[in-house]
Amino acid sequence: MIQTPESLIVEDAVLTYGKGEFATPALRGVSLTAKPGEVLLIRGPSGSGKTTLLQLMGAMKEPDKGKVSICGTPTTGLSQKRLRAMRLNRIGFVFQFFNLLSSLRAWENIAAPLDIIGMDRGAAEKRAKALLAEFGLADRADHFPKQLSGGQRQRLAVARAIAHDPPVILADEPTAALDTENGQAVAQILRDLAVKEGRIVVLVSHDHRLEPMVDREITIEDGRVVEERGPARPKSNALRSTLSALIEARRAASGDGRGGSGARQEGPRISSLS
Amino acid sequence: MTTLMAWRNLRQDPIRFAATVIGIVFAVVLISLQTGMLLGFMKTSAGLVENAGADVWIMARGTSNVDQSGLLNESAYYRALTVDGVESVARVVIQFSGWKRPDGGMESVILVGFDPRTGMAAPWNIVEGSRDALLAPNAVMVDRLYADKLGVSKLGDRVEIVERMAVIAGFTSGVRTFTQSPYVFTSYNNALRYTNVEHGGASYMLVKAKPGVEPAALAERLGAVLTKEEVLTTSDFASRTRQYWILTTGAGSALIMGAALGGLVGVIIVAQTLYSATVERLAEYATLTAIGAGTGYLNRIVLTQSLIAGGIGFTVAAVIASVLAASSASSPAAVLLPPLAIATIGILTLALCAIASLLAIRKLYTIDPTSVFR
Ligand SMILES: Nc1ncnc2c1ncn2[C@@H]1O[C@H](COP(=O)(O)OP(=O)(O)OP(=O)(O)O)[C@@H](O)[C@H]1O
Ligand SMILES: [Mg+2]
Repeated sequence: MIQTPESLIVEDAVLTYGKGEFATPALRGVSLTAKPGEVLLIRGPSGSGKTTLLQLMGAMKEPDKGKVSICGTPTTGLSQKRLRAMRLNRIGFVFQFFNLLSSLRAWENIAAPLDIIGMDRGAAEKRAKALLAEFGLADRADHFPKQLSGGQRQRLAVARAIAHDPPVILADEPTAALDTENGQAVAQILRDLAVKEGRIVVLVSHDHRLEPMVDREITIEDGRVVEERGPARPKSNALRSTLSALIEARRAASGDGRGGSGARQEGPRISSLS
Repeated sequence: MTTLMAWRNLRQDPIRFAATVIGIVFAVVLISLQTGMLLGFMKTSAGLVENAGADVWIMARGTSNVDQSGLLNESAYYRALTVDGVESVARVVIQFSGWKRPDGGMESVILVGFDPRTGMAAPWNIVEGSRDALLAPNAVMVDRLYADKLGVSKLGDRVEIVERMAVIAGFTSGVRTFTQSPYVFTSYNNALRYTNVEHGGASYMLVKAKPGVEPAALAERLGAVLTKEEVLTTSDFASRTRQYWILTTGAGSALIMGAALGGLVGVIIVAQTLYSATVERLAEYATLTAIGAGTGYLNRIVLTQSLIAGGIGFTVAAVIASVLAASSASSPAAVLLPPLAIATIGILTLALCAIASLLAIRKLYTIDPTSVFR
C-alpha cells in the first residue's frame, strides 16, 4: 500500500529509560506505519515496549533516536507546548481504565476536550449529546461515570476520544477491563472509526478476541518488531473505494491533516447494547 | 468549564470543602476584627483632636500626644492673637486627674476643660444634659460607655475629683478614650479648680483660622511667633497622637501581628486542603494533560477552587465580623469596619487564596502525561 501523507509513521525509533547502570532499553529501533482507514494491532509480551511505542505515536514524548511523524508533522524537536497542541488536534486516546473525569457528567466528559480546544459551551454540549446518542448513551447524558457500567464507560471514553474529531485514535488495552460482550462492542466501534470514518486506529492489546477485528498486526519483543502480519481481513474493493472517498473528503474538509466532520456517518454507531 | 470542574471538585468532598471554608472564615473573622480594632483605635486615639473644632494646636514643645502635655502660660494666648489670620484662640485644659466614685473607689480620668466662648474642645455627641450646663460650678460630663466604670448612672450623681466635689450634668455617647482613663468634660474655669493650671494658662491654645486661611500656613506663621512652643495643624497633631498610641505602645504591631497570624493560618489551611485535593485528582489532571490541556487550563481549575472557597468563606466571615463590629458600638473598644475596609479584606482574602493555591499548582507542573498509561 502507498504511504499517504496522513499516515502515522514511526521510523527506527529508539528509546531508553534511565541512564547508565539503570538504563532500560524499551525500544531498540522500531519502524511502522499506521494508515487511515485501517486498524493496526500492536502485540507483544509484557515489557516489550508496546505502551512506550504508543506514547511516541501519541506525541507524549519523543524518541531518543529515530523519527515519529503524525499525519505529516514530525514530532522531532517540538516543545512540550507544541506536543500538547499536536495531541489536542490530532490524537484521541482510549485507556484501559477509561480515565473519565469523575466529577463531570457523561456529556460533560465528552465536552471537556472541546472546552480545552476553546469551543463554546452550547456547541460543545450539542456535539457531546449527539455523540452520546450515536453511542447508545443518550439516556445516560446526565449520569456521572460511577453511575455507568464498564461497557458504558468505555463507550463514553471512546466518544470523548473522538469528540474533537482527531484523525488518530490510540488505545492501550481498551477491552482488557471489559467482559466479552462489551469488549466486542467497543472493538467494533473502534473498527468503525477506522473503516467507516477513515481514521487511523492503533490498538495495543493482549486480547486475542480482537484479532479478527484488525487489519494488520505487529508483534514486538524486547523493543523490536519481530513479526508483521496482515491484512488479516482484506477489505472488499467496494469498501476500499468508499474509504478513498472518505479520505478525500477528510482532506478536503481540512488542509492540516485533521479530519472534518463531512465524513461522519449518520446512523447510530451502536444499536443493541446497554 | 474549568469553573464547573472546580465547583464539582469541591462538592465531591464536602467535608474537606467545609473544613476549608471554616478555616477561611476563622482567618477572615480574625483579620477583620484585628483590622477593625486598629481602625477603632486610630479613630479613638485622635478623637479629641479631631472633634475639638480647632484648626491649629499650640502646645508645649515635645508633646507626643493629646492626652499628655506640658503647660503653657498666658502669654502664648496673647501672642497667638496677634498673628494674622487668627479668628479666635481658646485656652483648653487636658490633664490626667483622679476620680473618686460615689462608692469610694478611685479611677484615673482625663479632665478636658473646654472654652465656652468659642466652644472649642467642648463635648460632642451629647445625649443627656447640655454644654451650657457645664458652665455651672463643679458640673462635669462623661460618656455613657464609662458610666459604670466611673460609678455614675444619672444626672445629679455626685463624685469627687481630686477631693473637690463634682456633679454629673450630662452624658455623651461614643466619646471613647484610647487610654483606660475616660474623658471628663467641664468648663475651663471649672477645670482650673481641679488642676494645677494657673489662671490664664492652659494645656493647649486652640486656634481657629479666619475663613479662607490655610491651617498649614497659619501654623507656620504662629510657629514663627511662638518659638518656645510647638504649633501643629489639627491633622498633624491627630496623626502624631495616633502614631504615639498605636506605634509606641505596641498596640498597632500587636493587632497587625494578630491579623497576619490569621492570614497565615488561613493560607496554610487552604494550601493544605487544596494540595491534598489536587494530589488525589492527579490522575484526572494527567488525563486532561494527555488530551492536550495546558498547565494554564489545569491551574485555572485549582485557582478557581481556591477562589470559590475564599469567596464563600469571606462572605460568611464578613457577616460575622459586621455583626461583631455592630455589637461593639456599645463597648469601650470600638471595632470599626467601614465598607471600604471590608472590601479591602475581601480582595486580600482572594489574594491569599490565590497564594495558597500555588502549592497545589506547583504540583500540577510535575504531571507527566505518559502517566495515564500503565
Ligand atoms: N517510566 C519508566 N521508567 C523506567 N522504565 C520504564 C518506564 N516505563 C516503562 N519502562 C520499561 O520499559 C520497558 C517497556 O515498557 P512498556 O510499558 O512499554 O511495556 P509494555 O509492552 O507496554 O508492557 P505491558 O504489556 O506489561 O503493558 C519495560 O522494561 C519497562 O520496565
Ligand atoms: Mg503497556
